[in-house]
Amino acid sequence: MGGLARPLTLLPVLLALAVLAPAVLNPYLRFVVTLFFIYAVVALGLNLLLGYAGQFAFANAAFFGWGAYATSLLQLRLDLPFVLALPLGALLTAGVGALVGLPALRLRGLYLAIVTLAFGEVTYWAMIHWAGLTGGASGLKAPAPDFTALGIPQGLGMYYLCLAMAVLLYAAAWGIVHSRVGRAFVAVRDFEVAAQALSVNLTRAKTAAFVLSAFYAGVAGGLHSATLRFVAPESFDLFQMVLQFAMVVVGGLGSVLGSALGAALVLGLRESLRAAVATQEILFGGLLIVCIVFLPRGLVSLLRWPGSPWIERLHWEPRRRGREVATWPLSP
Amino acid sequence: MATLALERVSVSFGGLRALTGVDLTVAPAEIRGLIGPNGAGKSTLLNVISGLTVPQEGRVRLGGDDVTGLSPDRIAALGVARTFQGAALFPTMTVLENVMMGRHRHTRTGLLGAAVFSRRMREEERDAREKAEAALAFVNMLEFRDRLGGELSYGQQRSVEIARALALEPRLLLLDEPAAGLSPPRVAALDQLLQRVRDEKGISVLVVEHVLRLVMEISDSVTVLNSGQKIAEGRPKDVCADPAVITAYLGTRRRHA
Amino acid sequence: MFVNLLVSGLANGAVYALVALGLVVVYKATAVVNFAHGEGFMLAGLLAYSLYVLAGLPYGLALPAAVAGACLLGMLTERLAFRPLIRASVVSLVLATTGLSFVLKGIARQVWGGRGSDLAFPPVVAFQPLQIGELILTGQSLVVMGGAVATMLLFLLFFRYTLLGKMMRATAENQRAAALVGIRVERISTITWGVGVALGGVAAVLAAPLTLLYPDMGGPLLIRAFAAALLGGMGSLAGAVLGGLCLGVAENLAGGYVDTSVTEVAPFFLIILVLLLRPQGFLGRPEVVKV
Repeated sequence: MGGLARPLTLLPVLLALAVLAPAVLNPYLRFVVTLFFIYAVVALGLNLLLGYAGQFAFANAAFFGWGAYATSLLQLRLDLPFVLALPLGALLTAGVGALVGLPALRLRGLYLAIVTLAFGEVTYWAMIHWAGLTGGASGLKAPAPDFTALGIPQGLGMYYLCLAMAVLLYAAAWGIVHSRVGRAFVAVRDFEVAAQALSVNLTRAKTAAFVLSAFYAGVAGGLHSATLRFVAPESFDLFQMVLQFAMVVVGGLGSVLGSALGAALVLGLRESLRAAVATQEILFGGLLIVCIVFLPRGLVSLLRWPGSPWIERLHWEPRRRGREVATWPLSP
Repeated sequence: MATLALERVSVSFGGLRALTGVDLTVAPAEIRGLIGPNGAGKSTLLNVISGLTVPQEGRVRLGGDDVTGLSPDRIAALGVARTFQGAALFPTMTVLENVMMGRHRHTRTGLLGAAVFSRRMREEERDAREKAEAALAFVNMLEFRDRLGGELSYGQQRSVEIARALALEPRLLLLDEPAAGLSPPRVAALDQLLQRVRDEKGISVLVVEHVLRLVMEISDSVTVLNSGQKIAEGRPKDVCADPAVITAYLGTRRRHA
Repeated sequence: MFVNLLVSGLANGAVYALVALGLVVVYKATAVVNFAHGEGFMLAGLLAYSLYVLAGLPYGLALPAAVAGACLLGMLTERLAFRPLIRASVVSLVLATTGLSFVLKGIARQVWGGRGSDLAFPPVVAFQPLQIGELILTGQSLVVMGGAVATMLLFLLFFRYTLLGKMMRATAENQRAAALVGIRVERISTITWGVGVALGGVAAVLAAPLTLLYPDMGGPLLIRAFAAALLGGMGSLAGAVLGGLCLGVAENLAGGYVDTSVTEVAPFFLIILVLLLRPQGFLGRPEVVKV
């Protein structure tokens, strides 16, 4: 099928560039690109949940934090090596995601947004107040895997580790959205009752979407703590959530590639401006509004000319407000 | 054994009785018409069968198995497909993807399998695509396979919706007012399609219709509901002549006119 | 101690009730929650500070001007972040107002300074605290409670008996029918957003002397307004007021008897509990969703 094959002409080029890039990047730029790989993963997880499965949750910044703290604390408290702490931390976060997904089985739209907003704030509060475990507002020094033992400089090692994880998780997402699981996500988003009548188990589909996005955020969180060698609550506040929303909206909801595009743009802006908090808030909040109003299908929708190197079926319909507006919070 | 058997099914919504003690049996490879004036309980009956509404009393049996109270997805998995009033295609999926949703019941790939492009995932995808294309060909919509569901005309969406239901390979197909809003040539095509569904695939069909003509022409037998109760049942010809039906059905129509 | 916690809880609760009332007024009219609602509260407070403390305007002028500013902000929000998205999904609307809340926060931080430099609003009334038995009433808490009650009564009268209020109710009830009888629903929608945010503005100027003013204060207020509105059933104005008062008292009692840090998270837990156990709240009625 053309839809599956076309991006494959572009991918080897991008991949080769990413592998060779460290040769010409200075350490700072290499660090920024490493961060890009990490954010591309978080944004993809959020996109699977929000763009594909249509579950509107504010929990992703908190999941990111869960992954970061879990990975660090598993190393600090239980002396686990990084290679074990990262996947365990991500799995733990996925478990939390399953719990947060529970309300989604009953609540829709707005109400799910509110309850997950509350979850995010509780997580943030716990990071600050449970100082015995988390180091409180000043955070923790996070351990990182030691690449020097392999004869690779630390920064370069993190770069390739994050690149490898991003490639793996993007490939996995590509498979998921092109399988029955991904189709079920979109079906649940567009019309729950019809999805059910086609034998889609809503509980399973929604839980899967939450687990998936939490797992992606968990991996990204673990990589983030190892790259920065530091974890602090302020990285996981509501502004982080706005950055992630901006990434998926700017890139394109319901698009795998869009997640990476959005992450690149938002992170690029943030790093090149290095602006004060106030300016960043105005910039990214404004970007979110402007994009929703004027480019609701995201940057990826601009890549759709005949013969474009990227053909991806875009599963997003921004201009529709039918069955979703039920003011009653429960599923029928 | 009957494909579907409803036994004394009653449903009420907050004191309002929608169905009262309805019995209904659909035989294998039978087209059954379900008619009645507005508010007779036809859609409620379909919702009971497909699991969207749980009856307060009575049982629902599929080929002898009691399915009362099962969730809609479980009932669909047992081979009951349905269409909805109005078009219910997934608007951002292509026609082919829409119909491939019908194969959900026959596939097993999970998150992990899909994430690693497992052999099962690839085989299931290929198989689902082939079966979906066959279902589209069956309803003469194959040429639209790559269009988006939301781009099609209303009549085309209805055809694709039936193809999607057929891709599920159901033993029972429930159709909620399939002819509503269709032009006469399209209704004639629907006539033929439903007969082919019965004759070539051996599927039982339960058609809810407000309009009598389609039902009378293709149904093997017809059930008439009025105010949540079954008032007549039999061959279309006999039902038409039943005085109770004439007063209930035509009587209300005259009042509306 | 209990009585004091109860009464100061009621004063806080009156503030939450006003903010929640504004949230619900907009929600009833448009089925949308304004995620920038808390920033209306924050900006009204800071505006009042600038006008009263910095510009030296008299109290009677500074406060209405700040409330008018909030009203204007609400109307602008409707035009910029709601009207263009009127046919878009709930997701788009929540994202847009969330974006707006950060724009407003950023502006406030730019103008009134960053974290750490919280602004203190001087007390407006200078009489000695009243002592009745063990109950101590400060002048400001009396002003807050009195002002909140007066505002709610005024709003109720306006909503029930004025033509504009009736048009707002008709529009919220059924937009198509309202348009058919000649109501200009677009204008009413703009005004509704203005009134909603202005109610939060009133709460802000009343509460300003009781609290510190800072750009990040909108978020916690929004969460509390949600909790209050959900407690009351989201669609009910009386429920929002009742919910606000209950929340204020509950929060204060939890802070007094358990730990002060609990005050911060009490509303979050309340939201989670309400939504999971009784999503229709105290006064909400279930609506039947048709398939």
